[in-house]
Amino acid sequence: MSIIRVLPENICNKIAAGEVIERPASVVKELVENAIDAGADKIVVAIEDGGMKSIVVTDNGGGMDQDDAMLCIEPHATSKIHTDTDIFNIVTFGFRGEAIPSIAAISRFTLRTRRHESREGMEVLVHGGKAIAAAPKGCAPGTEIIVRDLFFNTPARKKFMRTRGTEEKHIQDTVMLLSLPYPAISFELHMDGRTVFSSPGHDTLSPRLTTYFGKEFAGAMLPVDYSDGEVTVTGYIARHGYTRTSRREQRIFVNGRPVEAPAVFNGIRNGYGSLVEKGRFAPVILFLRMPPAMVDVNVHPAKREVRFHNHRHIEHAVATAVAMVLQQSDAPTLSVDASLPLKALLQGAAVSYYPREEEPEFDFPATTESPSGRNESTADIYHVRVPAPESDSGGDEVYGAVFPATATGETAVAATFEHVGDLRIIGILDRTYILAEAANGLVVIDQHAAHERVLYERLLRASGTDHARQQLLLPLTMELSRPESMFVTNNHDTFLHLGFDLEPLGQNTILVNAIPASLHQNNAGGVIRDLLTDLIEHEAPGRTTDPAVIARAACIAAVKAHDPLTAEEAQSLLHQMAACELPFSCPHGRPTVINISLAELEKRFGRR
Amino acid sequence: MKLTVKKDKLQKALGKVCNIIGSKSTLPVLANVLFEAKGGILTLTTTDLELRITTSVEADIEREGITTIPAKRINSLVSKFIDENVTLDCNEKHHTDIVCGTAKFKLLGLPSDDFPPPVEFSPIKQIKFKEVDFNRILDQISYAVSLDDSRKVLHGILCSVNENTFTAVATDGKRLALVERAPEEFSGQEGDTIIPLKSANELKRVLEKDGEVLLELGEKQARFRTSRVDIFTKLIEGNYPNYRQVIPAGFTKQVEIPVADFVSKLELVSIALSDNSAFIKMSFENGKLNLMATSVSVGEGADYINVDYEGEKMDISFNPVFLADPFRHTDADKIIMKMNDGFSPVAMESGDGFLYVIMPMRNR
Repeated sequence: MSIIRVLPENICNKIAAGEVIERPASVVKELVENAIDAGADKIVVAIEDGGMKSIVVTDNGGGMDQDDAMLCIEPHATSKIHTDTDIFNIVTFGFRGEAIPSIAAISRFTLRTRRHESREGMEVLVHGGKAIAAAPKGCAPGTEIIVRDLFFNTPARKKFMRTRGTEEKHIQDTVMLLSLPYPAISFELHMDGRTVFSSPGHDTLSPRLTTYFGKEFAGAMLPVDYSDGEVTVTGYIARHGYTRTSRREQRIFVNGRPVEAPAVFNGIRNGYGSLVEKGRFAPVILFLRMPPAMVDVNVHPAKREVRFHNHRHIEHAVATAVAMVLQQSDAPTLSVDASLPLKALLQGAAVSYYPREEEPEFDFPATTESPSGRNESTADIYHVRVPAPESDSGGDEVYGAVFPATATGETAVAATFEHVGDLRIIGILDRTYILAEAANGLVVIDQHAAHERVLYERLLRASGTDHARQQLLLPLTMELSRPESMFVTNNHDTFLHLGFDLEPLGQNTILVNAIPASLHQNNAGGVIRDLLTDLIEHEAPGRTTDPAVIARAACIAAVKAHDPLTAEEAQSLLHQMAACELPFSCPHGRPTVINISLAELEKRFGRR
Repeated sequence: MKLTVKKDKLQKALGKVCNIIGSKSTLPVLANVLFEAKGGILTLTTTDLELRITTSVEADIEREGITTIPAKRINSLVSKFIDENVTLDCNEKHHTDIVCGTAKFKLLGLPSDDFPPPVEFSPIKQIKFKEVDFNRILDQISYAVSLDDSRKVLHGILCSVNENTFTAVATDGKRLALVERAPEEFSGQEGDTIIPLKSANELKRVLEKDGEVLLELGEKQARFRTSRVDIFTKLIEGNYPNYRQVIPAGFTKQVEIPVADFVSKLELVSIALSDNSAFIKMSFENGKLNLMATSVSVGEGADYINVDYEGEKMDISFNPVFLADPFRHTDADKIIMKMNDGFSPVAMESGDGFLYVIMPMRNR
């Protein structure tokens, strides 16, 4: 008997659905794109229970007549392509004819639609891909699609759904992203009966930027308008000095479609040149328009990636557009402050931790501490040889950590505590590594990892006695983006527990009333902003997050903003490390300390 | 340009202007001192484009002229010269021969045309102080300025004149220091000016025991004049936060604290703290102010001073540095501490127009 079979149609549809519809946000995306293609100027999205219970997308677009309404639930039925040459001239979002049947295959699906000129509309009900009913029905012009009980017949997929908060965040991001290229279309998003945002149509994008991202963000954006004949680049880019720690806020649209395209990212980077420091990214919203023949969007079913026929051309156009705007914009206001280094000004609030330029590579005079660590008793301490922890890439005995990164053994900790003063700092390498002389060789300490560990333990030791928050005499007002303010609201108590008193002031504004004293941070605004960027990327804003996660992000932000270490600070850092419970790995599990023994050096130099 | 000048005077003048010379500047001429010889006076000027400092010395001028000379070099030369007179002779290529006794040097300068000209501005108000008084004002508050805050206006000292009272304010957002004084003279519009901390520090460096300082304040520029030195500076533009708002209107408790006694006990107890992020707990009870410090990694310490306090016991915690600062920068032997409770702002006054407001720490 043959074991290869042609699959029945309902299984085919479920498989196709799996590719296009991976989560409720994908349904929202497909439906909103259809609504935009239908020429609507008002689109309302309402969801319940993170989209798992219901998703309703209503538009006032062209609508469908009764035959089309029946046909659209058939696979590969589309109004957007007629012949195969059309595939290479795609100007609409949808074209594969997969979306509606795929969604209908895995949900209880209702379609109500009416053309403006018709007197009555049509209602089609489909459950799990089976048409249940179709009848004329009175309804408003346009199309309304109701998707209930998504994934009810694909339990495997349903099991993989994240929490409601995560799905809500994805849906919100999806609607925000889709609405950016269409300022003229009015967008509303409701979740469980609550309005998340309502952004009326407008000729320019700026009111929408203010609604979504706050006044401060909108104020920092410069409009771009550039064309080289074939490629048009419009949108907004951030002024110098306004940067983020990730590329998440670089939103790119090609012919109205949100995409990720390395050629465009390269163009942005080249356009900013040295104005943006390595590892930081300027937020941008860029709309690229080009003849459909220059770009292939039919690469991936979810259409997230695109290919350009000439990517250098695109890269160059983007770089030129960005550079032109930056050249014309006001120079950073150097007059404001005489005492800050230029570099710090260019980066705005986010001062980097790289040392000032005049500092030599080795800037530590030998400390006056006597190298008493050379006696036998301490030699024993640094002799501890343990299998390197998983995170320690070296893993061999030569470059193993001085102590196991996971050591909780009291002996090891007590020993360092006593003898850390015996480490004699020789200098700093590459502005990053503290080199110290120990009894049995060289100890290399990653100062940032070590600093992160120290802060992390201090913050988390919240219940201990030396924890306090410094209240601000002049509280700081900060404007946040919507997901950020949602995160802050949902985690208010956790933040307070760690020492951040962040009070929501309605809309997207928060008031910073207090910060943890242990962060010893003066630039509270910069730290909170970096911390939120990091958290939003990895955490669901609708859920309460573990204090350890927030503490970790806070330390990283604080260390990033910290100035280079002076000799005294480096010495004090060693002492503070000694007080840590797990001094030998940073909060991410990377090692903070590496030991190169004298024996190893001797071996390498052929002395034995 | 050819002239002879007393070595001591030249050394002192160089000391006044050379502090703002940075080691790395995009404009090479900014590493030089502008020398200008005219009518029996040698004028020295340096600038970092934000700040411009000028001073002058009497000199025996044989040929008037103008040139620039590398600041670091001439400064170290003059400080090592031993004879009484220094002769400077500059040719048209801006090479200057420097002779002192038997020592002979030639330093290569840059054309004086490259040196940025002063920025013109018109003062909208003029304030005159005795140098020693103004020095005192800066001393009492400038430690409270923080250059790390993202609010640029806080990177300077607010100088405000209202009804013939001069108020200087400094804050880092967590504590605020303020001094009110009547100026010797005042003319022009009342209003606020924010002076960058660096400029205030440069001014403080050149203030002396006698003489007066005239502050000429414009919209974006200011000029500070003493009999010996002129400082031009850019100002910080923007609105300073409404500091009056953070000063509590009334207090329920008031305690007089002996400065010397308190500082020594505070320093003593702080030894038990592991680092500067920790806090000092102050506990007021009948006739006593207890100071306590606890730290997970070090241990703990406590001591007390006698104060005139009656009433219910009250605990309040502070950052030790913030707490000590006003006591370390006062001339008074007593500071009055005014409080309401353990988590509202606390005021400290020393009776000479000085007011300090500090936010306590909260330990949940």
